[in-house]
Amino acid sequence: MSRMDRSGETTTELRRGVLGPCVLALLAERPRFGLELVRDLSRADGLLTSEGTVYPLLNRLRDGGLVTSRWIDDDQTRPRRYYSITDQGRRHLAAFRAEWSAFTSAVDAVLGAGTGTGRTRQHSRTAGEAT
Amino acid sequence: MIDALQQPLVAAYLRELDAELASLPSSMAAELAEQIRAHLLEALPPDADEGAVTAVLAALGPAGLVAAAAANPVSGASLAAPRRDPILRRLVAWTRRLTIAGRLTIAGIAVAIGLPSGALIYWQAQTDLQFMTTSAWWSPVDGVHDVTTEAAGVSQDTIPIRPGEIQGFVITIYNPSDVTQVILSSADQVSPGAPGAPQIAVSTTGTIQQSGEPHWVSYRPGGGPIPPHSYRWVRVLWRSYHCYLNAVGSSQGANDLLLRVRVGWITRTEDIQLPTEFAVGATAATVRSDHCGANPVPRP
Repeated sequence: MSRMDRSGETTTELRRGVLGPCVLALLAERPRFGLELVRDLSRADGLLTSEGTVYPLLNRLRDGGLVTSRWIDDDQTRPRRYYSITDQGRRHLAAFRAEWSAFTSAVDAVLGAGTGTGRTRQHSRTAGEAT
Repeated sequence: MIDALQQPLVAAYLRELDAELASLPSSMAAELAEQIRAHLLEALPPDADEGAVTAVLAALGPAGLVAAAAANPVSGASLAAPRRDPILRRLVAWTRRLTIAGRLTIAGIAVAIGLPSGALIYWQAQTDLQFMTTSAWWSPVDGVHDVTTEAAGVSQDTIPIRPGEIQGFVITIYNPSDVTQVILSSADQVSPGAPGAPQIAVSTTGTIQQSGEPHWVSYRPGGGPIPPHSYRWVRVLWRSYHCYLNAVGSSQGANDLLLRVRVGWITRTEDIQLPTEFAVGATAATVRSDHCGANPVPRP
């Protein structure tokens, strides 16, 4: 039970850590309004558990100068607030992508190596017992 | 057909959201409430059934969670506001990169700046000298002619001016501070009886029980030290000026004493409030006796 909880917490922390860059990545493609952005994020399985938490994140990204927003009346029933990435946001995203790539490669390597070592030891112990 | 925000489940959610956001700064709360309302208006058609509303609200997440996400910026915090280490931690990290010689240099500079600064602050914080209980006219001749008047709660001790003669008063001054304070001179530019600064002398001892004081104690002309939590007699004398007061009934006095005082390495002006105004007044005799009644020398 406790092991399952820790796993869940780890996933939650990971999700929180990458959600901001994911928002930037989507906005780097094109500006999006709130619900559109939320739904695009929701398509990534497990990335978004509560759509409402995207808005505080957007506001912090805006306060950090990584995102801007403006109201656009695009012939819909009501004006929409569109969010766009700034130049600073693009630089930040590029930096994160580089770090993320190195990080995931390192983690993959360690996780993969750990699995392999365990098998080898198991195999050799089994061989010893058989002898 | 009703607005999606008026749907009972939505309205209840928004009320709960507003309550949860109440603890946030008002501008942050208003913006977030507006964003959530816009989200709901986009996500829900005006005639959405209860099932659709429930699904949208469930996807949005509990109102408390949304408010908590705004109040506790964990998600994306590293991107939104690149957080810097506290100054002290950065300072410690910086000093760790220094060589031993560099650290010693920094430590030396810190000591060289810190000690004098601390000392200056310490001296500046010391309490000013203050009057303590006893005062008298210096000359017995003046003492017997003293007239005390009270008006509007203010006391004035007035003696006749004696042009050309030494006049003045003595008071006891207490040093309530933890350091020796050295009286250097008067900071007053005028005396009660003359257009110049009075001469200050400080007694060398703090005796007060012996008879004959204040005349039997010895004085250090030009000022002197008062040790911490001690008192000294301070004599204030001037030579009264011939043409200082030229009208009968006019007087000139002082109800405070401005002194230049050295405390440690600093010199400052201290204003000692006197218990009464020490004043000299003109009489018919003094006005007649001098020659400047009709053509007085202007006061400074």
